[in-house]
Amino acid sequence: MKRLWKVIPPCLSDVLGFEAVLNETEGFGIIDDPSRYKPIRMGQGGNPQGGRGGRGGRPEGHGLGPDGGRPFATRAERETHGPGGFDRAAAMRSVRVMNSDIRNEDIITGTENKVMQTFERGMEQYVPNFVLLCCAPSASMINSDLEYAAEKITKQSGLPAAEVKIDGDKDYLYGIGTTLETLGRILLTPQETIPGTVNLLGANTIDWTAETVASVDEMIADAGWRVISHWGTKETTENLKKAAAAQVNVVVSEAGLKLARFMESEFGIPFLAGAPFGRKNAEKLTAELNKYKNAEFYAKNGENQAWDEEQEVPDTWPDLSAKNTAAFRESGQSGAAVNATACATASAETSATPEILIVGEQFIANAVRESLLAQGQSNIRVLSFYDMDRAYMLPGDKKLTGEDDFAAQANADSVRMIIADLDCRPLVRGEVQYIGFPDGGSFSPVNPTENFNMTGALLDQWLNERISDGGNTKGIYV
Amino acid sequence: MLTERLGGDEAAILVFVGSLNCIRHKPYMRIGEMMQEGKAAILCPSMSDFSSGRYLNQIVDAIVELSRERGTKHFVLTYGCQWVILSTDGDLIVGRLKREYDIDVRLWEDSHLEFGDHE
Repeated sequence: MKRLWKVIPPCLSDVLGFEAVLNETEGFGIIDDPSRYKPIRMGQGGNPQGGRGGRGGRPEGHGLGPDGGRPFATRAERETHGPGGFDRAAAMRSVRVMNSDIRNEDIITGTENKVMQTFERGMEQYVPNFVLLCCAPSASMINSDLEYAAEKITKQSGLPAAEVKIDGDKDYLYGIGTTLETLGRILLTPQETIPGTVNLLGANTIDWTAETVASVDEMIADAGWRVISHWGTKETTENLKKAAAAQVNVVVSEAGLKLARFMESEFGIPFLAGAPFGRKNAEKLTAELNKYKNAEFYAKNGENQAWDEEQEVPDTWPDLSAKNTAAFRESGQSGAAVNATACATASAETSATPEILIVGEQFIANAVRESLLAQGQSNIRVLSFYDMDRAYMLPGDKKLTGEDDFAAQANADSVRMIIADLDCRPLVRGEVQYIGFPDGGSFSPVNPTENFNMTGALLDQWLNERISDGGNTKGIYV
Repeated sequence: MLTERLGGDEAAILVFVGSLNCIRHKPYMRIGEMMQEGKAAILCPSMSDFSSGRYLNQIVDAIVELSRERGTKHFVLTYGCQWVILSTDGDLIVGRLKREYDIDVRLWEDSHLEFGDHE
């Protein structure tokens, strides 16, 4: 039955995605909700070595370090902070959202007063640079007017404020994506382009470890670019405000697409999309970035001109004065053209009779597909219980509507391998090679697969080990 | 914490009705284990299911499906804030399931709108 979950544990909600973003910023979030918000995974383990990490526990880099933000730097530091390295007080300090504490009577009279009181409390506790508001299911049902509350907050405090249009009914990726887009709308203003700079959009603390973000930063730096802001992981407001000056946006998860499209339409910033996991994907991202080094090429030849792979990448940045930048943007080399060669979904692939299913966050799953294709595998389909973007789906890919949908796909006769959360395993009847894969979005994981740094060749290596391990094609890998 | 709601009834299954966001609370952190053991399930009606009243039939359908699949007629029904805001008549659902399917359902009241935070 649709909407009935009998076996697979539920995922984190869009409101928790909102919280995940806010906790990494210098802003403050108000959730119109009767009950309070704790660190997203508090109480679910917190083993710094993994344990339930990656899903149930707190993977490193989830903003739970001793300063309430950075991850524990050393083993000694972890040990100082108690069993499993989990420092409850520091964890609570990392939370930058408050609930409005509404009760039954507010359902009749409206929640506005409670929301404004929460704002006052928040101003005492935090020194926010901006305020975002959202509804929990109860407030959403009575149509709480948070847009008006945001206007009042701005009028009263001078702080940028806005409502994030979520309601607790969708998944965490949708929440992260909508929150990032709203944040962009209130913080960004047009700026002169700084050549050689990028923003990293969508690397969120639920799916990404701090180590992975650092590796991707390094990879981009090695390609001669500089990341000037991160949207989804720890970042200052000052850096976020500089984002409109970036030459290119690099979107590394589905959750970064809404913001990328907004920045493209508002500021003309083109974007590349795909997680640079697996050697081939990493190389593609670097190659695509290199194309932007020679802006004049596109200004002269237009978007449809094929890039000559042999063409030398210039050592120095072209003159991106305001005039040249405008010409570059007008040449059509914007997000749409780039998307056509997006690094995660470049290979044409039909999967009418899928042999391999990959279930997970869309961009990560796409990267796994690319890695498998590069190894000679074929007929691969990407499925997800979470928000998916059509532009990055191949024929046969599907957003799953529930357990029944997954079971129907997984038990098709043609399927010989499934790469997915191990908690979906009980729904698979046949003998297939089932490879447990991290799923950060699960709220209550039972058999979590530890999250790991998938950057570049690390993903290929991980997959190789599990696929070829002892020639066993029927086992369950944890 | 959650298993206590089953009241020691080995045959009972816990069914939560509400939005994804409503199960973020401490008692539900281990609901995954209960689900994989066949002791719990979650029904997440959409906002339009709630506003149209469709959720009332969905609850009955879900419990009947679980009863058939798992061979039990004992259920504990717990819920989120939407149920309370809509003044859902739980007794009516309990009565219908007993009358039409001989299924016993016990309601577990647990609304943050009424009781505030779990400690």
